[in-house]
Amino acid sequence: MNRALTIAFLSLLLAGPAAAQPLKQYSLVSLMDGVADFITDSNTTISLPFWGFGYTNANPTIVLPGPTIYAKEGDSIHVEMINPSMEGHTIHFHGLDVDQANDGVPHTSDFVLTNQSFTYRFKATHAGNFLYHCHVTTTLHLALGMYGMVIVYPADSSNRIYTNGPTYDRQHAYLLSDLDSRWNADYTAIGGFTTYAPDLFLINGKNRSMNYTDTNIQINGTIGDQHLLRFMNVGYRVNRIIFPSALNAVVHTSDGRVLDQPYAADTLIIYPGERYSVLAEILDETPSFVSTDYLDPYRLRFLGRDYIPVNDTNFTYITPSLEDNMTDTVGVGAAEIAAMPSVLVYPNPADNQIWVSTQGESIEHIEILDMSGRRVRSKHCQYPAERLELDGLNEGVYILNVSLENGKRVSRRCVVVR
Amino acid sequence: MRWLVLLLTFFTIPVWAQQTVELFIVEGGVTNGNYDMPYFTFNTSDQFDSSNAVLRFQTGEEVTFHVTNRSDFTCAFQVEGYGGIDRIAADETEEWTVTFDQPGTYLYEDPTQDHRALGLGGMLVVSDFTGPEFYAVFTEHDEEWIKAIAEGGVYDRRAYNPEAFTINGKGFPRTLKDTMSFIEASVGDTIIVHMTNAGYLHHFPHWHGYHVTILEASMHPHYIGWVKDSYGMAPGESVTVQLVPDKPGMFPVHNHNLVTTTIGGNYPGGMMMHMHIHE
Repeated sequence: MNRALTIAFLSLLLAGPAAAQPLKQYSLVSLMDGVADFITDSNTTISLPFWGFGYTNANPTIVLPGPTIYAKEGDSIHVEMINPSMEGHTIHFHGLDVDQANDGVPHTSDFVLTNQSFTYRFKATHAGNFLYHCHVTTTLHLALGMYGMVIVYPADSSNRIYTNGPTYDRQHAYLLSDLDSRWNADYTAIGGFTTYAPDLFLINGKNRSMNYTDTNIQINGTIGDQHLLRFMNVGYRVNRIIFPSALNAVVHTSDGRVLDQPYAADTLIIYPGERYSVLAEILDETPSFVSTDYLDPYRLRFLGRDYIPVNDTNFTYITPSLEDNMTDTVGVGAAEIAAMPSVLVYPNPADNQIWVSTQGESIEHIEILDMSGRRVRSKHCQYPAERLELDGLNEGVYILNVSLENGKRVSRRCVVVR
Repeated sequence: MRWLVLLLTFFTIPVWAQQTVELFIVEGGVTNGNYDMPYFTFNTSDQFDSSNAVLRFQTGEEVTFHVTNRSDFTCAFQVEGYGGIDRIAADETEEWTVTFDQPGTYLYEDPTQDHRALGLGGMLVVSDFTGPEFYAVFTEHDEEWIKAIAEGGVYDRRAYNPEAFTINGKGFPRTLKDTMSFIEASVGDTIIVHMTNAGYLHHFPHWHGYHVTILEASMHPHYIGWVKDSYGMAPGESVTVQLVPDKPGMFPVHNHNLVTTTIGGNYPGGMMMHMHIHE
């Protein structure tokens, strides 16, 4: 008998790592009793209730966001969720393409009711950035804080963005979300889901000065350092990341999949549910910052801004100006920006007329589009400076598409305010 | 000589016979979960249907549209990139002939004022694909805007507060009965799904269970070729994706601005469609 056991043991050893099933196991609790601090627009600290996930232990405490789940490509992942709270919850693993039984959607999978538990089982098939969140009355449960990140490394645990991909020196994970303080303060009094109007804009569950001294948030390094920036949007609003000239930011993956052609970007739009891996090389050690903007799904109106300090350990919050309402909403490569001709639009904001002028090139055509993309003005032109009448246009943000004699086309934004 | 006539006849017959499509602008209602709000759609008969007709043609087809306006205000009919009819007075019918020579997924709409907010925005597909194909038009509905636009009243373009969110004019759970958007297919099938955002908000489809390959994205061309589970659609944008499911199951596809996955204060509702993938 002993001999049989020894042979069996040796067989397992000889089979080597290929036969071993790599398994990452986590146990989380879902609770509705969290309290967290946030900084308001008036720079005061408020404490708000939140719901969320925490590690299972004798006295479990939930955190915002929930604990990050780490795995390697090819791992099997088992996440036990224990629900001691008074309502049903689930975990949906967003982007991990799990099967129906483990999808965490109550009407197609199942609930985890009070004092029940369930172990979600799935495989991490691709390195990259993923999310998890409760999928019960999701509009409310997610907004109140029931979310976290899943980060999958290459199978060989190397410091590469993905298997055989580019290497990095340091990495940072930024989970962007938005929060309506009235919803968190009293979820029984929200008065309908369409009342959602976020007033707190978070990075990893915190905002403003709570983050600026966190070395996991800060991007610190010397010229040539490569920082992997993992951006994930679990909020209901659009994120716009604006990189400083001190960083050469190149987008390599989206939604846990490698892009065929990485591209340089000075601006990155991240829609709800999307994730991106950006490799940022430090070009300049002068203190600067990455802006993280939060925009409304209607007209991409500016709602709020926070920052990620770059080589600035004394960074303090900068109040955004009104001009932030009229910044570009589409990502454009840095190289494209350098090649763009200089076209001025003034006055901006404008009232009843606007001038468009170049540095000498003749303008052939100008069209004005509203924020739904509809052409509201069109003018054939011939001079390097042209005037357009704006009467009849509603107040708002417009896109000017300017065609020049050399075939180049430039877009500018203008705001009409009366 | 007879052979020559026959030969000439053969070569002068168009590849696609000319089609005539009758379209009607019809008033009906869309539910916000509590009651029906006024709503207008382009239908292929003068009976109201909450879905705007999906117009699908093959490449090279010549089509004559007869568009009849059953509303009591002046409308129009335009297909993105192809043109259309600039003015259709109340109770009038106008005609437009076009050859669809460029494959793609296009928004068609009544571009007059903000008539798309009334519901007058749909999808036109030019494609030679013969496999399983599905269609989803995302729209949201603000009753104050609809009433003001339809009745000539005043509304504030800065304040847009839609309270109902639909796919093909239906909010979940009604989307479960919508054969255009309910994806019924099998493991290994190559499935094409066309999505158009006919609303005024950006919308953000998220796929459970699978990643999809983006074939076309009219306002996010950098997406083309990317393999995604979540993406944005700007107002007026059309996105076409390819799905090849690797496992069976029933999964939702929904907007990840989760305010839109509710109806009348209930979750789940609104912008949520489903796929049922068989073994």
